[in-house]
This record gives sequence, C-alpha cells and structure tokens, in this order.
Amino acid sequence: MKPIELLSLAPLLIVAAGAVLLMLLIAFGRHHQATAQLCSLIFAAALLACWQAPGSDSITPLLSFDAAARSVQALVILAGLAVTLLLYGYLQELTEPVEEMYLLLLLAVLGAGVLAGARHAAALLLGLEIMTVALFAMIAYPRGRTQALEATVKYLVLSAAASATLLFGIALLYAASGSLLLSDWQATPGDGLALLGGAMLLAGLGFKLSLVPFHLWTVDVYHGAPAPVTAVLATISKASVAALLLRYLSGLEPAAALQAALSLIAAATILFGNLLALLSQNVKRLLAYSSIAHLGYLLVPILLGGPLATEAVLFYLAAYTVTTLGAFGVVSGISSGQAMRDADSFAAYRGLFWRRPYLTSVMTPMLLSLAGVPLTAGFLAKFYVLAAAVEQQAWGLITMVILGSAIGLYYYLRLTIVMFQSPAGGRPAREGRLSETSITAGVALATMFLLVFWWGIWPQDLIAWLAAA
Amino acid sequence: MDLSWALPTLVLLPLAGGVACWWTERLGLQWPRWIAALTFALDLLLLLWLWAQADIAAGLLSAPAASPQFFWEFQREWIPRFGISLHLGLDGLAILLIALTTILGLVAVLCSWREIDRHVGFFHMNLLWNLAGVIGVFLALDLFLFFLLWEWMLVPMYFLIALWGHENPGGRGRVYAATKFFLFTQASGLIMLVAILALVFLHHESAGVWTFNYLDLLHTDISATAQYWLMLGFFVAFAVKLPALPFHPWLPDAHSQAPTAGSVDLAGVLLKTGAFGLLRFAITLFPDASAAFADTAMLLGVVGIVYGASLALAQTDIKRFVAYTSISHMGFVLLGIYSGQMLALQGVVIQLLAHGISTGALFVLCGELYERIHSREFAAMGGLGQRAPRYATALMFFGLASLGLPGLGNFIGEILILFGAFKTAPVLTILAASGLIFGAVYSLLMLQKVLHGPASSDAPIEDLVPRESAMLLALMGLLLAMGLYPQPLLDTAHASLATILLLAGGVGS
Repeated sequence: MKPIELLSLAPLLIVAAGAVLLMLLIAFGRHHQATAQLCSLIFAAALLACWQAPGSDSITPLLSFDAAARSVQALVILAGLAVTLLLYGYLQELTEPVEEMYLLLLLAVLGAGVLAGARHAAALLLGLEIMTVALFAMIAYPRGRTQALEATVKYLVLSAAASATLLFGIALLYAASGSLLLSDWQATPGDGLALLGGAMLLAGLGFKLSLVPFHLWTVDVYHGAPAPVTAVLATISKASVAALLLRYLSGLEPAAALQAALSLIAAATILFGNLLALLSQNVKRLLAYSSIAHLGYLLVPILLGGPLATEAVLFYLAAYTVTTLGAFGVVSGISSGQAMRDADSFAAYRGLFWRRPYLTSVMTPMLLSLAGVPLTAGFLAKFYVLAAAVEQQAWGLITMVILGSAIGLYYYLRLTIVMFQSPAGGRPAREGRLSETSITAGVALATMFLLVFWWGIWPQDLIAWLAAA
Repeated sequence: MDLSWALPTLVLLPLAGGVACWWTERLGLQWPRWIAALTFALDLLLLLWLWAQADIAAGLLSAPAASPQFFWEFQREWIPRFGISLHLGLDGLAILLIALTTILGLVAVLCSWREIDRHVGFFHMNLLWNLAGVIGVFLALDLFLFFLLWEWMLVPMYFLIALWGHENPGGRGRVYAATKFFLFTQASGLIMLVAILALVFLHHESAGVWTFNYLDLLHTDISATAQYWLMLGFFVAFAVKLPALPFHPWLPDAHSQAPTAGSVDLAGVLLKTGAFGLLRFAITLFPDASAAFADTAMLLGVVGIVYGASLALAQTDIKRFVAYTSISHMGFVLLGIYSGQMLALQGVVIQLLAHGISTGALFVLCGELYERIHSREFAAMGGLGQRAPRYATALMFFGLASLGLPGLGNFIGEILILFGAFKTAPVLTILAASGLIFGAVYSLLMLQKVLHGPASSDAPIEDLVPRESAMLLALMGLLLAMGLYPQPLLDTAHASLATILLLAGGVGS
C-alpha cells in the first residue's frame, strides 16, 4: 500500500483531525460563533474530500470502500453540516457553555463514518461506541431539562444492553469462524454458535435501527432530546447502521428462516410505526414513530436482496436523511435551547403558515416527502423499495408497504393541514425576524428543500452518483 | 407542422399561472382571479388551435391503426436508468377531454369570483395546479409520468377541500372529507404503481430492456394469471376515481363539502380521468384479462347506476344529491367501456363530455344558491321558480339534461351506450335502461322540491348576475350543440376509439 492511498480515508481523517483542532480551540478560548464556523468548515472540507475515486480494500482490513460506505459517509457528513447550522440558532440563547456540542457532533459523525465503512468487528465496535457515547452527552446537553436527562438515561441503559448483546454475538461469531472479519462470518455455515451469534448481532443492530421489537426506546428518547440532536439520532445514527446491515446481509447466503424472521420484523415495524403515529398528539413523537415506520420500509430491500437492492437502500437513505433533517430542522427552527421543552405540541404548529411562512413552506414538502407524494425524493425512495420488492416478488411485504403508506398519509396530512388552519383567535401575525441565527438555519433548511425536490424531479444525478461511488 | 412543443405548454401554462396567482395576491384580490381566468382561456385557445390543426379526416378514412396514433408526440429522456422519459402524446380523445378540462377550469374560476375571499391567490394556485395535473394525465404516454401526474392531482384538491370547503352541520368536517378522498385515491394509486412496476419487470424479463413507455409495453408477453392481477391493480385505481361501487364512499363527502369550484373540478373533470385511464391503459394493456373481467365490470356499472339513483332519491342536501347522480351517470360509462362495441365507446365519450358540463353546471347552481340562502337543504328551498326566474330556468335546463332529455348531450351519451351494450350484454342493458327512468324521477323530484311548491321563506333572493348568466348560457349552448350535433366530437375521437377497440380485442364479445 502506497501512502498516497491513505487519501481514500481523507473524509474520516479530516473529521478526526477537526475534532482535535476544535477541542484545542475550545480549550484556548470559548467563542460560540468561531466554534460553529470552524465546525462547518471541517464538515465542508470532509464533504469535498468525498469526491474522489474509491480506495482499494488493501488499505486497511478494518474498512471497506464500497458504494454503501462512501455514499453513507458523504451523507452523514452532509447531515453533520446541516445539524451544525441548525445548532447555531438553537444553542444561541443558552447560558451554559455550548461549544462542546459541536465537538460531540464531530465525534458522532466520525463514529458514524467508521461504522458505515466497517468490515471488521473492531471497526464496527469503534464506530458504534464513538457515535453512541457522543450521543449520550448530546441528548442531555441542555442541563435545565429533566426530560432530556431522562431520555439520556434511557438511551444509556438500553444502549448498553444492546451493545452487550452485540458484543456477545461478535464473540460467538468469532468462536464459530475464528476471525473478526465480516466476510469470514458470512462464509461460516449458519448453525449452532454462528446462528446464535448472528441473531444476537442482528438484535444489537436492530436496537440501533429501532426495528420492532427493539424500538421501545425510540419515541421517548427522540421526544426528550433537543430537536437538532433528534435529527442526528434519526439520520446519522440510522444511516450508518443501515449501511452496515446492508453490507452484512448482502454477503450472507439466503436462508429461508432468516428471510422469514426479517420479513416479520419488517412487517411489524411498518405496521406498529404507522399505527402508533396515528395516536400521537405530539409532533416530535409523531416524527419518531414515522421514522420507525420508514426504517421498516428500508428493511424490505435490505432483507430481499437482488440487483436493485443496494441502489434502492442507498437512494432511500439519501432521501430519508434529507427529509428527516428538514422536518426536525423546522422543529428546531421554532424551538429554542433555553426553553424547558421544544415546540412539539400540535398547538405550536396551528397557523404556522401565517406566523412563519418560509418554515411552513419547508415543512410541507418534508411531510409530503415522508408520505411519499410524487415530485419529492420520498416518492422515488418508495418507488425504489416497491421496485426492489416487485423484482423479488415479495407480495406480502408489498402489501405491508402499501398499507403502511396509506395509514401514514393520514397523520402526515393531519399535521400539514394543522399548519394552514387559523387558530381560534383569528389569523395570527407574522413572526420571525431575519437574524444571523435564522439565516444559518435557513440555509440548512433551504438546502434540504432543494435536495428533496431536485432528487424527486431529477433523480438521475443522484442515481448516477450512487452507482459510481 | 411540428407542434410537439405545444404539449408541455398545455401543462406548463396552468402551472406558471398558478405561481403567478399566488404571488399577485398582495397586489389585490382581483389579480389572482383574472390571471387564473386568463390562463384557462389561453390554454383553451391553444387547445382549440391544436384541434383545428389536427388531421382528423385522415383518421376517419383509414382502417384502425394497430398501435395508437397521435397527432403530435413530445419525448425527452428523464431517468434513463429505468427507461423513463417525459413522453406526451395528443390524440382525438385527449383533445376532447382537455377541452372539457379547460372550459370547466374557466367555469370554476368564474363561479368562485364572489365565493372565495380568503387566501384567494393560494386557492387559484391549487385550482390551476390540480387541472395542470389532469391535463398531464390526459397527455402522458410514459407510465411513470402518468402515475406521477395521477398522484399530483391529489394534493391541490386536498387543500381545496380542506381549507375552503363547507362544514356539514351534524356531520364530519371538511378535513375528514378531504382526508377520505386522499386516502382512497392514494392507496388505490399505490396498488396501480405496484401493477405498473410488475408490468415493467415482466417486460424487462421477456424483452430484456427497461422501459415505462406505454407504446412499448402494449404487447408484453405475460401469463394469463399475471395479466389478470395486473389488470385488477389498474382497475382498482381507476374504479376509485370513476367511481365504481364499492370504491365510491369518498365521493359524496368530497363533492358536498368541497367549495363550488372544487365540486365542479371533481365532478366535471377528475371523474373523467378514471374513465380515461380505463380506456387508454386498462383495457388496451390487458385485453384478455379485461375480456374475462368484462361481465363483472358491466355488472358493477349497472349496480352503480341503480344504487346511485336510489340513494339520490333519499338525499336532503342538494350537493349530496348531485354527487349520487354522478355515481349513477358514471355507471353508464363503466357499462359502455367494457361492452367492447364502437357505438358504446362513442357513447362513453359523449357521456363524459356531457356529464362534465351538466354536472359542473349543476354544482355551479348549487353554489350560487348556497351563496344566497346559506343552506344546502331542500327544506330551505322551495318556490324558487317565482323568486328567481333566471336561476330557475338554468336549474330546470340542467336538471332535464341530467335526466337525459333528447336534444341535450346526456341523452346522446346514454342512448349510444345502451344501444352499443345491448349487443353484448342485453340483460344488463335492460337493467341499465331503468337508470333512465330513475333519472327522470330524481331530477323531476329535485326540480319540484327546489323550484315549485310553497316558498320556505319570503326573503328576496338575488337572481343570477350577468357573470353567472353568461357562464351558464355558454354551458347551455355547449350542451345543446352536443345534443343536436355531436358528429364533430365523434369524428375527433374516432381514430383513438378505433385503435383502442382493436387493441382491446375480445373485450365484451
């Protein structure tokens, strides 16, 4: 391996070096604006570094440079950049020191990037734990909120249990195969220790992906966390683990029992995610349940495999990430870190079209994209999922996807129309001033808006990029 | 003359007009209204010009073409990965239906002149965007594009009903009606999407190439069972739109609680997209399966005729009454499409056009009455014949049209369908003919309740203003022309219908 080949690792190296640099900067002097600017620059540089040819597998046995790794790394870095912009306005009013939040974000993105490219147990664990531990601190960050603290403790305890299960699974797989490489695990015949180990591995990953029945932590943690951190949980954390799951499952020999078990999980996830969202009266909880349902849709091409599967999963991840960032970005746009809780009740959104027309113009396409209405990226993502399923003739799963989408429409439309209804007191006045923080958040939201429509109307660019990655 | 540029223009014009309406609301409430009216007028003129340029005579003289012929086609590459392109095509059938769309769009704008005073710009934008989607549906030849436009029609209509609709005293709200409409159509649309994907995959397996092009997918080699399931997938989506029993529950709520323009749009135009879909896609892509299904479909049509008419008799709300008569009239359309006779298909085309105009006009009249007496209940009406004579004349005219009075377009449509279907399904046709009697009963009953009898109150009612009179006179003229001399319309649609019949093969025989 020539040293120049290390350039393939450039995105991750830039984020890692950037984290150290940021830490030193904070140690020397606290300045919120400078920290945020440096953080955005680091993410922008890392994003630019993603534009290069794929590296070879001989660089390191820990990481792979396949399409899933490179595109998801770029995706989480993009998400990190967007969250930085959202955090700036959200944290502005906090009286406590806020600079560490950006450091934690860099670490979370680093962990996610490593996890997305992992093909060895060490990389898997490293990436997973860096990301998770960073998230623990991020969720509890606004110290005044008891709800956030409760969410962190829940996430901490349950995540520890899931990580323990994961580790046990890895240990069993090591015992069965004698190696820590994913490819060797995939080659081991699936019986006895290997089967048990694989099941525990899937259970641990299922926890992170909020698949039923490992989803019980999701809604409370999403609800308690500050809105930009919920965005991180919903996008960065999920995308990286999904990429890993795709890599693991696509290399496995198809086994009927595994297919059946995963199909059941996918169907249950879609069903429960959508049905429970129907009952929600809280916007963050609604979006949390909807993200559970979306991971159910995502699981369908992952478990079915086939020629369209990888393309479908990557497109879906891209569309889902951008859409979720937009939705939670709007939630953080009307919330403030200083308040005891985020603006997440339906009442806070009634008449939003007159109070904050630009925010509503972003939220509406995001909700329609989550619902799968054409012209948005979410529609093409669902199209890809259905295409992959039709190709494998998985008619049961197709029925579940259609059923789930139909149920989902109900609550997405309900939230959409609430934003356009005038509250009882008459048409509300226009709020929202043009300020530095609102512009930074606005840039992030505008980018998400444009991406949702660009990928929805002209997806060929994204498809070509994902194929070439 | 290569006029393919005109095809995307027909769709883009209302889109641009919609955006302009939204922006100009700040200049004054009249701006969006005028811009919307002008946009529809321009679109109509463009279409009429295209109609004049189209070589209709050629289609009449030659034998039916084996593959669909279009006067002009427009194609641009879009998502080459799947063989999806922006493919539009204009044939005779599309010309007629787009003409209906633009005329009713203009009527919708005119009838909302006084009714809508909140967020006028946004209202007209939704109206224009909805009809842009409909025009696109009539033009689309790429199945992905068709599906996209099919779904596109839904969101603006959802907003129209949910934000500007009427509440039902004692019933569920307008958001409920809008949501029900959206859910029914979207869910059935997703089923159609799966059928489209399955068709494309089967074509890929047999021909080795990815394509969503309608013309390429026409003669795909599929097994009989697969064809039956795919046909059902398409049929469900179009049956919900038509609406055919048992997929009709969204219609009465949506029609009665939509604002007037929304009801005109829904009844006059959106229902026709279902019939168009059946004609253009369902029976041509799956001829054998459609032939096997024809008896069931025709039975559903007849049940719809009788059911719609019976329930119309039971209504106390005038808009729900008109909504149920729509179900009844569209039952004739379903009967005609699956009968597999040229005469019946011609009847279907005339019925679509005439029903669009007559039901659109009836909803306009309902809306005008609501503006004046603020009620849709029959109990609040009565004796309007003396109190508002011009209104009464219009209502009588369109009520008689609805019952199928000879001399007006609806008669031609229904009678041609019955003549054509009698050859294939005599018993069902006899049952369907009872629809004519039912029509007479409910229309005359409605007229009696509204126009005659004791007046429910002595308050003076403003008669039709010039804007309303002009609009209704124009519609009356169109309906009369259609009823007295429908031949030009039949000529325009002839080539398309002949090819459809040829492709549909043994349907109904």
